[in-house]
Amino acid sequence: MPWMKAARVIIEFEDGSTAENDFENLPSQLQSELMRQPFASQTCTDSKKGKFLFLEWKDGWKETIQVDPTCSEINRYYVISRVEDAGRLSINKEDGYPELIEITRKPMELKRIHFSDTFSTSLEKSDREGKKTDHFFKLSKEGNMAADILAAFKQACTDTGIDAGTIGIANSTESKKLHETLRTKMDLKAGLRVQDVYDFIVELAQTVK
Amino acid sequence: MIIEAKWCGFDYGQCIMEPGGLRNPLLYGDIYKILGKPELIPDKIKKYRVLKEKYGSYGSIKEGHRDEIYSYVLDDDPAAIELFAAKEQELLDMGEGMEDALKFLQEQCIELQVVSEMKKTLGPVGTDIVSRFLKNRGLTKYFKELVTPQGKISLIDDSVDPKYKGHTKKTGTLYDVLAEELLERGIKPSEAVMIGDKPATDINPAHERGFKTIKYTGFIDLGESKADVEISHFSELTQIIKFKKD
Repeated sequence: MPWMKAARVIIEFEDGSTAENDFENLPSQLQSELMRQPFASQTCTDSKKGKFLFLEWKDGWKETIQVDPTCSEINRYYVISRVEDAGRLSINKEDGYPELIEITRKPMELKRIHFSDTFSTSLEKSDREGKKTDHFFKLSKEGNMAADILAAFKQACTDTGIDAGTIGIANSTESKKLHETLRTKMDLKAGLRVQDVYDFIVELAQTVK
Repeated sequence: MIIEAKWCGFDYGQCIMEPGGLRNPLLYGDIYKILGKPELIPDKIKKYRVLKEKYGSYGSIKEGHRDEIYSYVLDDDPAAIELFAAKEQELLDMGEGMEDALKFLQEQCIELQVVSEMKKTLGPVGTDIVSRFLKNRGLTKYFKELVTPQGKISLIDDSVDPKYKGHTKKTGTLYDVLAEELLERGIKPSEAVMIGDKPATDINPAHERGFKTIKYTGFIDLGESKADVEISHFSELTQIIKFKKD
């Protein structure tokens, strides 16, 4: 980390409660992301800590990047060119600006989507524009994923001996354990953050109640 | 060109097995989503890429520094290590047209062997990445043995014939031992074909010892070689190789 070292991170929620952790316990990518935010930028007073990289492009564009002070010499430079598939799931929102969810895991193989209703996907058409191809999928109402998930949740509760009525009541550490046990049993993964699955499990428990 | 042969040796990496499907976002994405820690995915991918910069290529990491994947990237987490091994296997592809070509060669009564520069294994022989790939993909119906610097490994009972131990493809001594063994079975080096992508290990040392050689460029073209023939798709083998009758 090239910048002035951060010690702790404290998050204050809208209800006034807080969560905190040593900064070093955060994933290193997140540490970098936080420290590059303007609010977290502090001038480093120790000039020995500053090591900088300068870049210049053919079109005259120039950039500088501060690097770790222990960096010694350039290893190599290379470029990877690769065709990537990126799925974009667009969901209409009240304010007129759709929520855009990026699907990075095998986007061409997405089989079903559930949001209010369950839809199966099938490739409808592929439009090529230069080096880019847009593959459009037809969404057809089919089956009921919600019922499948609820059944899986009930089965997981039975198999693990967890009373759905206790979910969301236990204290934070205990409930996380319960949620994780059920998550694993249901073979359900979080796309972005594991808390999303835990919140979903609480909702399933309330449906059962 | 038609090559008449009684024996065919195949390289493993980037030949029988193509690592194109083994993408970091998919590999680490799946591992850490299963573990309930999706927040760690970008960090793990970055660490793996840092390791690549340290050793030059993902192949080099896996061949000689696999333990560092476990310690540096996976934090020695046993569950993550187990998932890494499983997912790595799942995401590897087979060379295009490989299975049809193997079927054709077997029907021609041509002997088939895997000849791999597997310098070291982690864990017991038979559970190494090459053996597991061949077993998982049902390729043991074509290949019964794996010739490596670790010895000749039986894919049937995991026994190891130490004859090849310490001999490598790069130095060529592995081909010397192979040539001797084939001769004992009445097969001359000129009746044996080695197929692979790496000139330095699969093609040139084998060619210098009288083997016929075919360079496969379907995954990567590693430049000039002494190969007798070049192919970009394994289906071409059905047009090139014929069984050598006595």
